[in-house]
Amino acid sequence: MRRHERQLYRLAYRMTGNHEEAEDLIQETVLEAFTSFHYFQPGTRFDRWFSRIMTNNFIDRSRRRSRMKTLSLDQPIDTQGDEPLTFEIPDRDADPQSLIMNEVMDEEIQKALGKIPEEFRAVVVLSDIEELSYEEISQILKCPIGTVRSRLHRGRNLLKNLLKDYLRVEEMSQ
Amino acid sequence: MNCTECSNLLSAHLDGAVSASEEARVTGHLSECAGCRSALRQLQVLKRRLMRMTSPIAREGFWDGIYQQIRQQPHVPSFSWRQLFNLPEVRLPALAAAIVALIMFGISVVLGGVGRQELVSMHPLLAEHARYSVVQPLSDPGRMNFILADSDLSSLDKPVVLVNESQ
Repeated sequence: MRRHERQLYRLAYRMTGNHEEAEDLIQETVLEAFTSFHYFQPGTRFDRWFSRIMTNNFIDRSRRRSRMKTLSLDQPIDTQGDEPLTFEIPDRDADPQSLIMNEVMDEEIQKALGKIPEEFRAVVVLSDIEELSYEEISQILKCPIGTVRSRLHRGRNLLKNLLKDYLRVEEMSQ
Repeated sequence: MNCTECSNLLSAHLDGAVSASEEARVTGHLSECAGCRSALRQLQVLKRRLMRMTSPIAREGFWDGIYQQIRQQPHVPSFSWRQLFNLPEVRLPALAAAIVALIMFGISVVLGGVGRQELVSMHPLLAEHARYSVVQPLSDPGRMNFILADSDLSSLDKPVVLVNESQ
């Protein structure tokens, strides 16, 4: 599990949108994975198995929460708590201006991700951030590849509309 | 192909996840529609940007806390019945169907057995037939008695009249 810490935390954070909920989601998933570890088939990928449990937990939690109280999709996501945001910055973005631009853009993308429905968000994160194939996503979410394709299409289009101004700037800078 | 159809396929086209015929139609439409080309460019920028998102790092001590929590969990047996008997993984509906079938079979055996016992005790000839058919299958007097009991023996009471062929 130690080998996959960074990847699993990234998945949890990108789906939930903040550190506190990412930590809760991982804790819940770890406990569930621990008690049902006998279902894990040796020889298969542990990170895929764990990601499946975590993604399903995330969608279940979101549904439970939406049953408990009605949240508007336009509601802004929670701002970060006392914990400072720490990011691992790739070498290619070493100059300070790029760092700031990247952080701003990452924040905007994260906000936009938080505004789209959880089912679409999970597919976008698994596809475009975790870079999984349609087939792998369909196995994780236990849904047909056609569903993955349509959710990804709808999720990306929602994000595209929410981020159109930023994308235009990004497009011009390339 | 119109713009709506093309728009519906752009995301999959971006991932190379469309069929050959869809690909040809999308490419054909893109070559003559600036609006859809722009939409595709925006999707490309979005995908590229998502892939470049930084990896958030957990606060210090978070994972240590997780491992500590795991160590404190009560011991869970490291095997399941499935693993113990080296059985293949069975899905729940199949398992439920097998259990129902087993219960139905058990009920039919129990009730069927009782039914047969009652039948045999009510018909002594049948009981005899059942016994002899097991111990002496080739000479079964029980079977003969059973046949005789079912036969119409009323003609035996009538006098036998011998008729001479010459008369």
